[in-house]
Amino acid sequence: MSTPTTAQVRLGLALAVAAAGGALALYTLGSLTDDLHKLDRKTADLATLRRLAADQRGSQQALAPFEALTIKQPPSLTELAAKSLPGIAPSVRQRESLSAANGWQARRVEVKFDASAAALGNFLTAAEAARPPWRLVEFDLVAGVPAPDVVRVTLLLEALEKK
Amino acid sequence: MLVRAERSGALTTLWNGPADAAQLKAVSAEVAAGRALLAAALPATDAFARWIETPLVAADKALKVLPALLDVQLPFPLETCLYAFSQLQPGAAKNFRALACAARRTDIEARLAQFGALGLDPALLTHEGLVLWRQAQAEIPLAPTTLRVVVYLGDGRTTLAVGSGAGGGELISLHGLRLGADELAPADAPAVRQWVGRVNQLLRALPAGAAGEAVQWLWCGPGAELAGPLEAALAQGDRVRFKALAEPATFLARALALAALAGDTAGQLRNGDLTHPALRAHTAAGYRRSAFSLLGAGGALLALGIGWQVWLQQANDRLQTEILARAQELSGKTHIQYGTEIATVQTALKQRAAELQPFADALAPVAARDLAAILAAARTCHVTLEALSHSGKSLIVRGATDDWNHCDPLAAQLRTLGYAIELSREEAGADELVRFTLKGTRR
Repeated sequence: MSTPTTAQVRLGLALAVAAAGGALALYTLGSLTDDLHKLDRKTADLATLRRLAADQRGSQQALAPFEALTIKQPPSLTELAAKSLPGIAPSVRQRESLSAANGWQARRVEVKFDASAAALGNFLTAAEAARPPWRLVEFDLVAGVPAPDVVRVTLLLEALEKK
Repeated sequence: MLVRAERSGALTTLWNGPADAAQLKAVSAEVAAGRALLAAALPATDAFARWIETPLVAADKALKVLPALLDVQLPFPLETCLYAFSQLQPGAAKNFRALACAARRTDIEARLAQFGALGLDPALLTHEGLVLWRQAQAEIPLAPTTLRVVVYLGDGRTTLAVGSGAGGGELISLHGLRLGADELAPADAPAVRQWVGRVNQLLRALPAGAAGEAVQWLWCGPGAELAGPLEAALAQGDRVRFKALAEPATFLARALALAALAGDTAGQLRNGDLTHPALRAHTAAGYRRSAFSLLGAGGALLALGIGWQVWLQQANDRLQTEILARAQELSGKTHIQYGTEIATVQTALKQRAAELQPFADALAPVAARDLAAILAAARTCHVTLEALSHSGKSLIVRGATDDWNHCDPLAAQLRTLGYAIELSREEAGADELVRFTLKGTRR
């Protein structure tokens, strides 16, 4: 076998480079669709995360007024009742506590008392005006018991607190 | 004899006859400067031409066996010759055939030495019979049923190119006689008879198919004006025609010049290690250009391919980094498996949403709003409420009214609060009050 000439070596090298370039171009073209889909998928994932982040920011806004409170524990319902339901001693029973975001807890309390509709309104207004507020979750009212103008009230109230 | 052909189409006879030293020097200088290429002929008397038939139907394989088949035909060893194959074409049996031209190396070297003595170095040295045939074909098309004999009457030689119009103007054979114008000039009858006898002998050896065709004789060469006695001796019947080619004296030179200009290298026998340095350099430059072009194209493809892959990787990495960062920020987790970012974030946010729900609920107290709205609606509708219960999404209102229809507006009010209402009423009792129950479910 004869020794290749410089021109042959040069041409061989050029052919090798051209073949490598061609092979890479073919590979690139062959995988182009997949590669672009992969990029599209990632771009879509990022858009989804951005949307979730925006939603999250919206939800987080509800937390802000509570975090801004100086006192993060609601007033006692017994105390509230003493102020808004003069002469009435409600029955107060602690119910379940649910954990909430950022170390807060949603504490539920069941309150029973007999009062007029107006007194009930005063109590609820005072409870809602408290900071953190007491929120009415459930209620059961029976009119005329034990007297015609009296309502037997059972309320389930919830307040957020942070210890 | 020297003819200059230019790409513009111009043909100039530089000289017709012996050249002086100044003219030769001028030509040499022009060739040496690379502005012109010198093409010369190798006389048919010093060369050999045969159609070689291969038994092979594949062109590349046929090309490989041609030298061995030529070796069998040559009267001297192939190793002592230079040869060239042209007109590779399928034969009748779908095999391949080619026209082989060959000459002994010593004859070629001697011919080059003759030129060298004049200060000339032709780059192309072509079998003269082949260029004569081709130029005659170009200048006078050949009728399909005619046998053509192109006769070049040189000073001391005759070259014959025989072909037939039947095969589309295909060359049949090339012959050289060491008998030319020098011998025929004195109108010497024995020389004419000898010439005619040799030529007739060659024509009789032609393939059987060519025998019945009309014969056309075309004269050229410096001795073309001596064709008269030859025509008289050759004339046999009305199917024989004689004609002199245009400017017969310069015909061969013109044929060589035009073939060289057209890049037609068929029958070019200055090849192998005798290849002219200019042609060798031209070929090498061609290889270099091809190599650089290939290298450039390959390099460009590689650069594009690699560039694309790098960009793609970077784009992927950039996106993945941002996805991971956002997923970590939203989920509060530092380790998230690749590909599970969205699912991890959604799971974390679902839990987070449940933890945030009490805050949203606290800012929109639905039960208190409903209670106030129901009490107000009862007053407006003149309905007395007896019991009111709200738990989760369900609502039960019991009451009484003095009119069967008074509870309808109340039901309508409850519907506006978002409840699906079921109303049941009892006929008025002794107290003339209609008792009703409204059961609602928040939609």
